[in-house]
Amino acid sequence: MKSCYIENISSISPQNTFGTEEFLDNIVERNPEMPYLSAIEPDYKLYILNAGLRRRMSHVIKMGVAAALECAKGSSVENPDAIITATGLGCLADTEKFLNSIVVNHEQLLNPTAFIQSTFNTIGAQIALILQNKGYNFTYVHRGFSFETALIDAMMQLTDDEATRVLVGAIDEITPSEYEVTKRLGFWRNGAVMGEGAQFFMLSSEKTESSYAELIDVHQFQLKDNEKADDRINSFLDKHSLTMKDVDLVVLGNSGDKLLDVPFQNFKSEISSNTPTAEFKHLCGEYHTAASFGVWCIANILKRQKLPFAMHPNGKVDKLERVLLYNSYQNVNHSIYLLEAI
Amino acid sequence: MEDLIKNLKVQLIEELNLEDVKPQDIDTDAPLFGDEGLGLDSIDALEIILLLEKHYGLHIGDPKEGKKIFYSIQTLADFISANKK
Amino acid sequence: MSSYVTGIGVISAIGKNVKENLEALLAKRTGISCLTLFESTHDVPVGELKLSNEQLQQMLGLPITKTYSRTALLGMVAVKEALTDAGIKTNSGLRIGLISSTSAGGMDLSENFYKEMLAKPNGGRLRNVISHDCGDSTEKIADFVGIRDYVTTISTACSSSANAIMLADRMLKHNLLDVVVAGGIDPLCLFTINGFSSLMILDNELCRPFDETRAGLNLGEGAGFIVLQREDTLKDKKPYCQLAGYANENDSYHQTATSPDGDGPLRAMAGALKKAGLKPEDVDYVNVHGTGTGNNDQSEGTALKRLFGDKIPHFSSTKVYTGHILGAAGGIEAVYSILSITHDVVFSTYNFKNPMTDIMLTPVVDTIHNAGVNVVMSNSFGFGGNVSSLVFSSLKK
Repeated sequence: MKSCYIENISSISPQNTFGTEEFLDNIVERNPEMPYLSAIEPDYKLYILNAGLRRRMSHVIKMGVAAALECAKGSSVENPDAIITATGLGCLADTEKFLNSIVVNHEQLLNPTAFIQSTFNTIGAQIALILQNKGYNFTYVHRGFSFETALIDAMMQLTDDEATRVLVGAIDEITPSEYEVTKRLGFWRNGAVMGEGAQFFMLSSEKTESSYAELIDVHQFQLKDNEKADDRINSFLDKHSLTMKDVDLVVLGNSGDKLLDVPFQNFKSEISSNTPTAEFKHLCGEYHTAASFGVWCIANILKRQKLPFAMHPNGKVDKLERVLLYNSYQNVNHSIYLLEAI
Repeated sequence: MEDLIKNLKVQLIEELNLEDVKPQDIDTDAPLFGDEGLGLDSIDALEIILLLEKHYGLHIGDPKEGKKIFYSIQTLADFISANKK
Repeated sequence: MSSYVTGIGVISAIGKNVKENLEALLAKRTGISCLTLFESTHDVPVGELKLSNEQLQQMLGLPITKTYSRTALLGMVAVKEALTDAGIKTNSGLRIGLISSTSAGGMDLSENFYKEMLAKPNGGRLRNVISHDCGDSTEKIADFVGIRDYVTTISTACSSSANAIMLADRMLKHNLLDVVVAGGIDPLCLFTINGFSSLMILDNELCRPFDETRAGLNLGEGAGFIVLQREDTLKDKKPYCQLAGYANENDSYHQTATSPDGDGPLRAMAGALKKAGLKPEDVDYVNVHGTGTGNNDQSEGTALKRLFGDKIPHFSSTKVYTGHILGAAGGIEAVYSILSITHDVVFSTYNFKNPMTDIMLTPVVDTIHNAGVNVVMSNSFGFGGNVSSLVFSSLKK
């Protein structure tokens, strides 16, 4: 694959990440009355100017569209050649709203808006409508692989010269009933906290003065019988003629769930014991596309040359030039990202 | 008629979630659809069909029928008063 | 360099495998009938597969006691058929991926869960909600057939599976995988029936694509998958045809409607031909999106006229047989397009009677044998302006 540069980034998350110059300087703790980490939302009127479209947008659509437009606006070219979005559950609140109306109204006199807006590619489509973007527009919806495939797709587009700029984003929202269901499924029993957010990245085949970082590679995998994540990470590094010694920092996507985080403990004790580590899911919460918050952090770390205390740094950091992210969703969908400073 | 027009405007704002629009902002004779006036679209047309059914018990089977009826608040009000049982 | 189609698999209202689907298409036998799978107050015809989940589980050799979404079951049937057809064993050492797509995911189960949960907190059996997300069916299918190297899922409404096929080709080209099974699945469910009903675009009779009297679409269910390979992994396998070109564009006109001038569809079709290195006059048959809604057929017809001028190739909508299978439409119609090439046949829109007065285009109404089919275009257009075209070509071309 050709070089792929992160030209601009944006994030709406449970932290102060939107419309601010700070980088995780002041941590927002979870509201003790809430069981999950909700995103801090801006006044969307300031970011989504099209009132006609905005009035139909649910929470997740507003998060996604505002983050996308902000990311595009700060890039050298506002209108990208392609838009690729990733989401685990898409426009869940609209889905529930329409389901609810089916039941309550006995299938009669249903308002179509919630149905229309519940479609998984609504966010990508609304971004395209607002930017009047007529290019390639894909939406990936595969659990902890959604964002990963979106990035791989973007890198292929850039490599094939199908595009010079691709806007890639990941979006997921919390709904109260989703929390209740996942709670019943035991998701939050062992230390993980549910989260939500929208992260967007303008990827470019050209390096500019303001570029954040270079995205070297992304790899997703599921473990086959008796296989360990360590082996897959080592062979990933091997493919790039690297060893763990060449990595300055490992960012871990452990969710805090003491059962599901086993691969991270193995990883820390076995292959990265001499490499500094940091974490991010205590800041954004766990969700299908939470890895995108990790990538957003790394882009900032590499550009600002600063590792925030909030990310629980562990070990002595000599330099910040090459960062590896290892993420896992439910210990089923694993992924590795490699990024370098410009 | 005047009450009907006033109610229609309120209902329209509510059902279509028209932000920052007040009943007095809606010109009774201006086109509801297209770039002038409120700039409503085909999804709104479906919502107006629901509005008529819910509030006035009037049924429109084919969205195409709605075109003339939904031209403005005035044409909507005319349709309702002519057909309301 | 384009990839080769070495296997196909399909299940729909007109058959549970490729053979049955082909026979029904040739015999002009529609699968549109009354809804029997579940209760709905909407009395609309649908393209329903007359097999229960239990029967599908039996067919697949799965335990009856376990709960699977209909999405996963339909997908398993089609993916298994496609892999067997291609002669691909998942333990062969090749890097095999499954790129699936769906618009409803596991909604056929979760809509029941939701109803019970609304009735009382903590209501509903959890086994009916764990399949809700779109990735679930993909992972279940991959487990079932033994695909371990790569899985992902696309959801771009009605263009989903055409887009899955595009991604497959690009991953092969980049040597990220050796073999990809790509396509899509959608089950019938209350959610989509009510959704399209609320949009007032469900016809109460058999849909009439490209007809002046058209009054909307019929929903269907099913799955369609194709196996794609690079030339270097073909060995002595003779492929059916090539995936010659494709394009995905955004119409960027409206969240649900396609532009009246057919701008997006035109760019998708022209883009796919350009990528294939072909000209409009090379196209022998277009399997149109042709849903039977006022908007789609007007827009697509306009785009066809703009691209092909007065030399419109044979075209038809096979949705009169299967109904509109949303996220699976592109995959199923890709299979039909491939069958058109390999059997040198053009399928019909057999119930067509009256050309649209503003477009005046007439689809094929009778099966044409020995039609000289070498190049087929398949269109899939979705909500959010998501428009896609695929072009398949015979090995001669």
